[in-house]
Amino acid sequence: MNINEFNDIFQNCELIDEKIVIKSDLAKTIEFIKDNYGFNLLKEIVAVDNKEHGIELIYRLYSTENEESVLVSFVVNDFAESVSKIFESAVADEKEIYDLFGVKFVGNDELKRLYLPESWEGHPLRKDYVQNDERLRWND
Amino acid sequence: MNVIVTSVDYILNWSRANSLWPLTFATSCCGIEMMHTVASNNDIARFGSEVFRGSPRQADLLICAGTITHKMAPALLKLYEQMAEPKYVIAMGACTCGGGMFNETSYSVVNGIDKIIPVDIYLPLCPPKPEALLDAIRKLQKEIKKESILKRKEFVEKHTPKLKEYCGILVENDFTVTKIGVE
Repeated sequence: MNINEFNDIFQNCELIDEKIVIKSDLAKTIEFIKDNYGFNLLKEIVAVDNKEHGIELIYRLYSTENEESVLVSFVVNDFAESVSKIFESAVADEKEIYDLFGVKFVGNDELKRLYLPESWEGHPLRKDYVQNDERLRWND
Repeated sequence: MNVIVTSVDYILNWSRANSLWPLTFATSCCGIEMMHTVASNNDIARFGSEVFRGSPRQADLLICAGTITHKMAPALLKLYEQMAEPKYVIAMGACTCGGGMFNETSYSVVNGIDKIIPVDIYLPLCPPKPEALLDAIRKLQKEIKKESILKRKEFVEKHTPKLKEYCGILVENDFTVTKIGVE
């Protein structure tokens, strides 16, 4: 990909460590990549908790035509834009990330817990998670 | 009186021990070993347990094969409550015996099903081989042959965990089962 192509759409593009860094909206970027480069399949969304540097979301997009994939990463802070309108398969991934990391995806209408019980307190894969639920004392 | 009870016990225990119908309840990798036990190489039918029932109403034996999480715990409790007496429980695998490798490290795993339901036979290993499960069933049969109908109730009452602590919101909200097994 050429950085100049991105410069036309987004402002303030930089090339840092062979990565194109854009200051832009999450959903807008994903939609741009999907429409212009033929990445028509969202394979997965990965979340990484980097403590004070926020939570990193990594999207793996795949092109069935060219058989190649691209990784797009964003740093968010508890709130993120949902891509469920662009890729419907993102609904389940976003639910899972909300369940375990507590990232609230704005625009995902079905956002609720996927694996843990509805009444669970906290988001267990966050680095600052401490389990001190009084209701689970019997399990100690 | 004792003579009558003893001979009734003998017949009842003999029939119960040789027709233990297990409940199909497998939650993880131990379930694969349980299926293997049912298949022809380790034929569980030799001990009268080949009829795996899908409904807890028809089952005598709960082989709890696999990790029980907090989300699954109310379902396990409900299944156990639905089984008709006499009912027996085999805790199969390290996770069900005491949490296994998830003990004190996982946020979501119940540290042993004996915190929820009474257990007759503990079968550790991760996962147990089919031979080990057959051995557990043989041991359970020996226990059944020794017991008395009058003393079974006492045994179950003694080993039932105090479920008062468990009647948290986890049971009430998620399965709309309000306080099963709780006084």
